[in-house]
Amino acid sequence: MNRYLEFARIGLREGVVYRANALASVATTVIYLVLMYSVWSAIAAAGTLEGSFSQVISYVALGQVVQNATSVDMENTVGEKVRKGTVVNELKRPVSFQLQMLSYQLGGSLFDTVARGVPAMAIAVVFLGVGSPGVLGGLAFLVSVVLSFALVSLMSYSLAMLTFWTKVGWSLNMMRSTLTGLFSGALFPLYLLPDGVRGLFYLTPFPSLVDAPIRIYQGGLSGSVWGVYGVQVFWILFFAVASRLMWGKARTKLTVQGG
Amino acid sequence: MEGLDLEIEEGEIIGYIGANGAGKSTTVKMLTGIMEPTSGRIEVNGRNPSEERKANAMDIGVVFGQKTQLWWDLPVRDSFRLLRKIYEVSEEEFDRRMDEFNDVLQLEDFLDTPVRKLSLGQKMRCELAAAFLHEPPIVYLDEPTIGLDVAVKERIREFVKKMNRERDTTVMLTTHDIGDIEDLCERVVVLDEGRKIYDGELDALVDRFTSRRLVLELEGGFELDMEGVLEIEDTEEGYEVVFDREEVSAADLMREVLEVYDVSDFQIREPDIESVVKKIYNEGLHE
Amino acid sequence: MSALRKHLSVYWDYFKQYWRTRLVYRWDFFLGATGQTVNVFAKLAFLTLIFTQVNSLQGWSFDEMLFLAGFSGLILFTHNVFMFNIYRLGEDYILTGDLDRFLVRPLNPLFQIYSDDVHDNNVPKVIANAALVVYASAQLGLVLSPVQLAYAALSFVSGILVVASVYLAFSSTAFWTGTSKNAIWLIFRLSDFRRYPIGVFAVFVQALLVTAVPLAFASFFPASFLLGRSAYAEWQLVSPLAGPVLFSLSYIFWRKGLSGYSSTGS
Repeated sequence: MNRYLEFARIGLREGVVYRANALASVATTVIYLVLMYSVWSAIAAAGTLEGSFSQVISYVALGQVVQNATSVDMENTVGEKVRKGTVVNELKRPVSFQLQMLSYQLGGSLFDTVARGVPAMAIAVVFLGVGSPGVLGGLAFLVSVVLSFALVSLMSYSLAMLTFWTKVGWSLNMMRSTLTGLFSGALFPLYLLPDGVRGLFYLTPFPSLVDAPIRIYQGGLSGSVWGVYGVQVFWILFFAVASRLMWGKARTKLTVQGG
Repeated sequence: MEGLDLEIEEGEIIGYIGANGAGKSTTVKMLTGIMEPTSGRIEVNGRNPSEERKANAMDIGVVFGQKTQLWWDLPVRDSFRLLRKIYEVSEEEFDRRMDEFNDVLQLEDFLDTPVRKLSLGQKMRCELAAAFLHEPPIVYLDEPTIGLDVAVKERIREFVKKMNRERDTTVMLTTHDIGDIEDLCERVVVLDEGRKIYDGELDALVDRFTSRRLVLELEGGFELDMEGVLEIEDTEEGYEVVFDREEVSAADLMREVLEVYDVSDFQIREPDIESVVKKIYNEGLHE
Repeated sequence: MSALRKHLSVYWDYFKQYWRTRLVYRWDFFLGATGQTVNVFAKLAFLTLIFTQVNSLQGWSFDEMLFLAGFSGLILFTHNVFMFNIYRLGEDYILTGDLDRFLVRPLNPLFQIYSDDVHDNNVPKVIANAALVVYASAQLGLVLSPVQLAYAALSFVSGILVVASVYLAFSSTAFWTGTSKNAIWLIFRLSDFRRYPIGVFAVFVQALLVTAVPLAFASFFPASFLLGRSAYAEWQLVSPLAGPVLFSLSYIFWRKGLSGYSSTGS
């Protein structure tokens, strides 16, 4: 247990060292929110927006908060190790490679949550009029965000396994980001989609990453909060299994090649 | 830099030595136009190098020991082709010189290999060829033989001597390697803490280089009277015997010593630039 | 050989060599290209969704928005293919001292930085945005007069220089701060604003897009001219000139930074 804690600590420390990145990230969030605010205001002004403007902008802002707090990049971390060949050293250690990577990521994300997520939340509340969901709602939201984090980590890890074959991580990371942006609600609110299309989106794991916690926050779900959690947990299990399988394949490949 | 007065004639090969941080790289940076002095004047081939950077660049070749002037992912041949264009060398001249370089440096075997796959020795030979490709009147060599084995060092020194002999190329060589200096330089400039502390012929320093040091750990007093023993010093690490290796060998010394004394440990020390410089500094300037 | 000819000839060689080595990393290339194309479609999806909620944005129709996105994207990503490398100025050239290598060669150092890397992963985006322009023009039934075509060509080139001037200026801050990547990341985010009519933004944002980060000259103004929209006529007229002027200013700033680097070294 302690060993994994150490990895988490390393991840956290790296976040602190590269804190200029966090600052830049907050700045880009601000820029993005200014853009979205302008565009959605213009749309709302046209008078044909479904739902209210405040609901839309609040959704978008919360989307940024969730994304900032759950930003993960194991494709590049693992990809680097594969490319440099150092991944073999990691395997020699008497610890689970997967848990090791996840712990490291956890440390970094803890830092991100504070350094990026909290400022984003502050901006959302102060400037964009995002209301409070109440104590219970807030807790439910946090639980969902934690589930999102678990899910995105497992997804990223599963993709990262592909680097054992492709050797490069950045393109995988980019594709995941793009698809996430497209299908999770990060790019645009899912509730504005026509029903049929929305149904298709919900068949993918992506809405569980961003749309799920937002819906919980914005409320109006009461009992179906558990339904949302259920879907998130389903996908977590799915990717947990997928990642183990892929890790098995990857490890076989390494040992066969005589890494 | 604490004030440097230096003049170099065309066709000289000078060794520019000093401990780390003495100001060697700084000097080269100023001469190549990368850095400007805070005061004073620099003239290279009639130009101020930082003001006329591009023009000066056409007339110089540089080998930075650690950084490469070649393109990492490209085959060596392609790097040379690019350099040919950059330095405006005609195709005929280029072919002629490449033939010549191949002869002396033996680059044929790896001309088509990407630079990143070359061994250090191979890379260095290419760097040298690159530096001399456009027949610049001045070449700066910064630690060109560091980390290389003796055979490669020999070849590189041969090449530099040849270029200097045939084209009158002025060479400024910064190095820690005494062998380089012995083989190539007639004149040596020694720097210490930003100041020049020796500027003169190598011969005058030669006796320093040929002396070796034997460090002996033993109990009690120590005396030795032999031909070739220049000095005996009582240091923290033991008795330091400075001797001229041309007059007496370490083996002979040891034999003598062991007959009389109980030696618990010993070490043979080659002179290094640091200790040479320290020595020069402590004993004052030579004229 | 004149200096210009030399630089052009050397660049062509760099460029050819670059592609030869690029295709060694095939997976990377393929995945990158696919990812970039998906990216373009994702952004388009956003636009499409917006137009399920409205029929026009500030008087701009869907196809006009596509044209704007495509035209500005064409400029931005063409710039990125050839001139993106400046974003590494701080971390990879100044801090490492690698810039010294360039200063020792008889070539313009800024040129050497630009040509040190070709960002080919932007090529799919260039193609996609070109296709977008063609598609949108067809949908709009847009027929350009010779004058407009000349304007389009000029403002395309000028637009590239405008983008370059912004990247160069922000990257040059690395001479003082040692870092350039974060500043460029911000610019990259801001360039998203190019897809929307300028009237959508608050006044101070509009001012920003015309002064400190004058990307409007590489997107909105020329595009609106080509679409036959008469608002902002003076700005439209000025756009083809904005590029050379702004790039010259940035170049002066760059040289100031470079001379500072020269006198202290690193």
